[in-house]
Amino acid sequence: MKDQSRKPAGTSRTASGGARMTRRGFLKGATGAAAIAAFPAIVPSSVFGANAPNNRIGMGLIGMGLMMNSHLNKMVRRDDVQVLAVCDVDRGRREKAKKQVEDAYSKQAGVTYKGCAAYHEFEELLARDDIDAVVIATPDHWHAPISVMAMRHGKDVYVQKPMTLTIREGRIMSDTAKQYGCILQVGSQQRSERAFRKAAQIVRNGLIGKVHTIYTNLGEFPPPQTLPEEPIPEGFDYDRWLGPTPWYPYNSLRVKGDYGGGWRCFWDYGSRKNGDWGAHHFDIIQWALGMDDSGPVEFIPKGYEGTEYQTHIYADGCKVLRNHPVKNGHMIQFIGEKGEVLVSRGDKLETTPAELKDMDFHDQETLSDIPAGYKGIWLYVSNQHEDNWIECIHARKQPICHAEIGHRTATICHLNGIAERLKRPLKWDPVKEEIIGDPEASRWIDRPRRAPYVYI
Amino acid sequence: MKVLTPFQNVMNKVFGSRDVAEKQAVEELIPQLADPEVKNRYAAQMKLQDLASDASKPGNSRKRKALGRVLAAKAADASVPQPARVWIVRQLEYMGRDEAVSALAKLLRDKDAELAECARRALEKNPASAATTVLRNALGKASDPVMKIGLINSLGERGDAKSVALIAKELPDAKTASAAALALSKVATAAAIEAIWPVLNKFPEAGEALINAAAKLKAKGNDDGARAIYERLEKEAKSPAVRTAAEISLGRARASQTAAKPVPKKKKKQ
Repeated sequence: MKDQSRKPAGTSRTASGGARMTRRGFLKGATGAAAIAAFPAIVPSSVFGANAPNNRIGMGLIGMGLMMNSHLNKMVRRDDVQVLAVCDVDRGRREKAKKQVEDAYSKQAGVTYKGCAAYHEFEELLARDDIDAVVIATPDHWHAPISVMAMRHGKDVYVQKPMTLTIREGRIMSDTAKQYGCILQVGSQQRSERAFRKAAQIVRNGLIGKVHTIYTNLGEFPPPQTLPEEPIPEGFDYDRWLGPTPWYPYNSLRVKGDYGGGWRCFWDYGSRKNGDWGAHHFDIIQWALGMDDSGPVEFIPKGYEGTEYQTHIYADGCKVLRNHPVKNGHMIQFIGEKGEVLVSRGDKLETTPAELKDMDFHDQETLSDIPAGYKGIWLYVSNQHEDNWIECIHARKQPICHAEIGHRTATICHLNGIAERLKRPLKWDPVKEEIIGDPEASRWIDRPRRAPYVYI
Repeated sequence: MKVLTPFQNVMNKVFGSRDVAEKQAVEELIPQLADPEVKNRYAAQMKLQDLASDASKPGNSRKRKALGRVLAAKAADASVPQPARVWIVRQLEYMGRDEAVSALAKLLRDKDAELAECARRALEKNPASAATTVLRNALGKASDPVMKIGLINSLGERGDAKSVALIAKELPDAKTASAAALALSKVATAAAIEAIWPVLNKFPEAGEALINAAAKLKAKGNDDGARAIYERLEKEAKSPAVRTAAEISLGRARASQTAAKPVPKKKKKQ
């Protein structure tokens, strides 16, 4: 293999294995004043379109834990993306990720590639003009600060779910995306799965009548713990990992990335299962009910005056019950006046009447057989969540799970969490985005940030 | 919360002592909140959290105030072990009001950085206006850059117009400049916005702060004020992202103006 570690800035991989000069590299390498005068110093993302001379998106990956693995693998396989940098507070993780990226590109190009930077601090990554977009897969408490800063630097963002730690962060993120014209996709990827889309289409179009009850299974995390102090591992910036959240002594269980627990158990870093799985299932429910710009009006915690299941209620009376048994082990069950829809990952969909699941919403002939009352609502179609984001970056159009959608879903996650902590029901005004008649509960709409990690 | 014995109730009435039940309940929890076996602290933390949640229910103001007074006294009491004080202050963050301000003010000056930071956050969320005064006075005296950043942010969160000059003093310092610009944008008075303009293009957050401030003005109905900021940023900001944001907002404003204009009636043919 040829060593390309000294190749000039701006060269990049090609499918054929050679190195070519990118538009940005040309600009940076140009020595004449004319070249500088002729082009803007930074190529605005708006020029990236199917016909633009440089269709490649410079990508940064932030938070190199469990969730980033699949993002990294998808991004390095795309011809229109170049992963230029990775970032993590854990030196071991960022160096491993850098190697993964460089190995992948080296394998594809057939030459040694050394073009991926590894950063400890995301601010340095975001300061790079050649990075157009970032994927953020940190723990939840870092989602909003990094996303907002990225957008203020003009970057497009893919941020893992739930989008935020607090309700106010979501309002800021959604507003920032609009202000800066950024393409932000939230990683509630069930929206890009066929069965969930079809379920939402059936419900949304009134084919099971008015939906009055929805069951969804989020599971349970073990309770959080108070943990004794352990030595901070070499190369791990624990203070920065905590970031804006309150300080606690280091313990490996606190920072562990683990789908069954770890940091996901702790209130300081998220809304536990309401955030972790609610960000998926509540999101599909919002979609199916046509509530993407709104939300429920009441949240009742499990145990309150004998309430058996955590419940949130929409203005039309539709109730969502968490962890109520769902028929046939499905993830979500919509119960309407005229039928039912059951849906899960793995493209599993059952309906009553049974023929609903076989309807092709894009086939006019089948559509002609649809019973009266069909509303003719067509939902956004995406079959792969990251691909949808990249396509939208090129086309400068809204992705399937944009910031306002992510904010509204996360709001449901957080309000359920707040009600659970306070052990009392909350009334919510989804228009004003205010908790009604409970000033102390309202303080939870945002959380104060630990200095110096103040970004939003 | 432990139910008082008849004797305690009588004593309470006779001697007029306040908050006896709350004090007793909290005092019982303190040793567990600082249990040397750290894992044992969790149950006590949850009990105290439940007490605070219950007291903070709507319509429970007397109970909330009583517990707030007890928690504030314990938070300020140096004989209470540090882990217990930290957890107590964290409850005050979400239920403390005016009764907690003086204790939190004292803690803000504590040598224990964790306690001082917890107190700063609790004051940030405290709805009493006295909390703003405490934070403002503390910023005037603060020297540690981390504490300064926290105080600046807290005052910004509280939208304290009286702090503008104090915060603006921090704009030339690289350590505090970003936090100061952001805080001023949250205050978004004329003086706050005026203070940011001289540092536009000196650091990226200054332009972003002006975008924030303009959005804040617009949200308050001051469309002209917002437009003036966007127009100036469009011309003067070096950051392409900030210029783009200004252009987008101006474009939206123009589009909405056009949409709001009445469509001229077609002249009838003679």
